Amino acid sequence: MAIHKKYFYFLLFLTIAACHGGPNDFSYKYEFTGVSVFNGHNLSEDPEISTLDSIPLNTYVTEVILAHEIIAEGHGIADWDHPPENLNRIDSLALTSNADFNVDYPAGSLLNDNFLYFSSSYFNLKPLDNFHPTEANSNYEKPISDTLHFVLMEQAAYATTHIFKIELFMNDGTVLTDSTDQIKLY
Amino acid sequence: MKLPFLLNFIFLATSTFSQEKEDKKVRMSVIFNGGVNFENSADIPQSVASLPYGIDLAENLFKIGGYFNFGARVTFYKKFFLEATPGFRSRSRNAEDFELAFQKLYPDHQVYINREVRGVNRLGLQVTAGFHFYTPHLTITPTLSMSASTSNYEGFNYILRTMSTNYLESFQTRVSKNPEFPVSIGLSLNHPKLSMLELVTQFGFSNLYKKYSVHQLEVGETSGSEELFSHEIKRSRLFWSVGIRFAIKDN
Repeated sequence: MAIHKKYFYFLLFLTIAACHGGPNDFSYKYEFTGVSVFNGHNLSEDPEISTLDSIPLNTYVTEVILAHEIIAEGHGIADWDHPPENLNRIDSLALTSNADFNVDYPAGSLLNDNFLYFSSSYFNLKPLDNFHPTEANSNYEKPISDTLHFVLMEQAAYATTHIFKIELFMNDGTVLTDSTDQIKLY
Repeated sequence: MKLPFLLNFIFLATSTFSQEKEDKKVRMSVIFNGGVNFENSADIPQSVASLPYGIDLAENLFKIGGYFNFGARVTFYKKFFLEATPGFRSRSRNAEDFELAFQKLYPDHQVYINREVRGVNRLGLQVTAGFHFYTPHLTITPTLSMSASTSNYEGFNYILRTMSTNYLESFQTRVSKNPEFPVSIGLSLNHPKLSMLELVTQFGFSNLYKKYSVHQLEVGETSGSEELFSHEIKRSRLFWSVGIRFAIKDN
């Protein structure tokens, strides 16, 4: 029966090792430090930043890039048990335009309801009022190196020229903000 | 972290049982089975788009899979044995093939399929009876197996985007299924000098009942929707597997 005892002690070791957590038992801690927004379109396979002066309404996308800074590094491996910790979470987001969007949304009004956002998969499309940027296949908030795509879903908009502005209201009271270049939607 | 606890439990259970059966007329072995698995599709038409929403594509794109199970065997008088082996039998499916097939079905759309369509596992318990025929150079063992299993296949989601626009439609294919009870006959070959190793093949059939339903979802939602279409599949499925069996015998 010696062989079974060896198995037992080996598996007991594995069990204890799996349960052990060290003092640096976190992946990393970070903060968002800035936001950049650009006009984009959805004319090809994935949304992309555009330098066009005008874009059809039914393909318009606002492209958003969040900059972040690592504040503390643990073992550096992010997983379900060790998600990255955002030290200054985004409380809410406001997307507005300098022009009338349609009869219900005059210039300066909140346009969040007219967009959905995702990072790398359409399966992660979420409303802007629940803005917790995540990478594909994860539900925890982690630094985004890729572009976030804010997809215009509401087509009943005036064909006019817009400058879209995004404000991120951070948990510590600061506001990160940026605006797109002028774009004509038609 | 649950796996080490499960393995602990199984090894402790088998070792305890072995101690009780150290009678030469009854021998206990711990069995590990593994190999490749071939299964036919559900005998539905192979032509593309014969059923709406790509339901037939979902069934016809299955490929070779594998199987693994392990458990205990009790051998009586070195001739007859019974073994019980919980485990799984799988069929693979390539998500990219799946996406290409859907793209042909919807040429005016960009198709996005969730990555959960890679393959299907059937989990269950197999009980096998066998009888050893000894020849000078080979031990030949015909077997009869019965199983009870259930599949982890829950369906898949896909999104259609009208080319070059933000117009999106989101669909969910759901599958309701009954437990399957595969029955198979098999043969294993073993050289006396390699008593721990057996070459095994199994051929069998299984009942199959699946009800597919297709639902349209709100874009950005993952559940809750109106049913657009449903289709039932009631067939027998044939399978053939080839593998090896590793037996740790209790002497």
